[in-house]
Amino acid sequence: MPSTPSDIFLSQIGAHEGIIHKVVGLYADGKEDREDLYQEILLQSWRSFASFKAQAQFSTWLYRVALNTALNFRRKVRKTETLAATQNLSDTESSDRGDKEMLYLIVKSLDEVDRMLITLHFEGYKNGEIAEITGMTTNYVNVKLHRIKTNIIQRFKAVHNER
Amino acid sequence: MKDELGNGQDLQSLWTQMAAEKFGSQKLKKQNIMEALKQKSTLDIDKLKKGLGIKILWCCGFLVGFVVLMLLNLENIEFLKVMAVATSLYLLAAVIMYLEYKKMKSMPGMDDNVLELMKHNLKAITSALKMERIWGFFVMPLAVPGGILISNTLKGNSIMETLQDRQQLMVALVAMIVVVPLMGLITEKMNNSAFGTQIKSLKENIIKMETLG
Repeated sequence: MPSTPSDIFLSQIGAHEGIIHKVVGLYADGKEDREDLYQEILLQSWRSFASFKAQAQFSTWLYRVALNTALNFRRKVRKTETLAATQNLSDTESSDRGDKEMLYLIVKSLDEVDRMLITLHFEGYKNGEIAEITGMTTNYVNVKLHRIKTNIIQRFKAVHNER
Repeated sequence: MKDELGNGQDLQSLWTQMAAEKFGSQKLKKQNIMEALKQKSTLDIDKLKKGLGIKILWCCGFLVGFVVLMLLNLENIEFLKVMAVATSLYLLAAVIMYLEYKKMKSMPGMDDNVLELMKHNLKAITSALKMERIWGFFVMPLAVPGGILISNTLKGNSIMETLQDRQQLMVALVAMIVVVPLMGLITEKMNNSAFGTQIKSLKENIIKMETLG
């Protein structure tokens, strides 16, 4: 059983590290930026860990810290790499693997705020919870999510029609 | 809203599969986590906090130096007068910067809501940059005439003698005319290149989160 704060922190991070991988994968390009963002998220999580309340869900708390860090993190690699990859979406093979890659690239090409909203939505958070995490109103989250999903579906269909 | 994509798939299940495939196999090593916790933060807000802390230390260093110089020249009243003004100015600058530093220390944690934290960060970054501008505009240009006054009074000349010396006044004036805009321009350029993109991105994100486009 973990006893010290660092043991508890390590065990919780180990159980929820997928959240960090997702946020880093969606918000950083290039090896250097990814390594820096991993390090920064871990550091900021550790710094804020003292304020984590046991009754709260660690995953929600970690999402909040990771997204806050990603949105305030200064990237060295600009988004051109990701955009170039997204523009070549129509070249992606029409396979199951192609669709997954396409979804990843489409989400990655969204602006930072939309990317945060749709990621939380896909991760199963209710609109009210997303509003609480982000500080936006629930009504605004509802409207925004509807628009983002419509946009993603349209982009998917456009690529499928081109094939 | 199943089968949203019209090919038997919906976005939610596609996301779950993609996330499992792309991120599911990645593993953080305990050693790497422990190393990350010992590193210094690279976030702008942390860098600015550190920068402001260093400026306060510089101010304190100058203050100690001024006091030592005053103690060594207790018989030189003119010098003491100039140094008293310089000490008061640096003390004021140190207090203002310390109050700003304390405000930055009491920033909300990274686990606060995203919008709130971005607003706080933007406010703290612009406020810290304002401090840098004040430093660049007032403290640096004052250093030239201040330096001339200090060196003259240390030589035994009175303040009035220095003020009546046209050549010395000219040097101070030219230095100020050149130094003030130059320092302002350099500070502005450096701040823009260092924080401009980040400030713009924070502002854009805040607007996006507060208004429906």
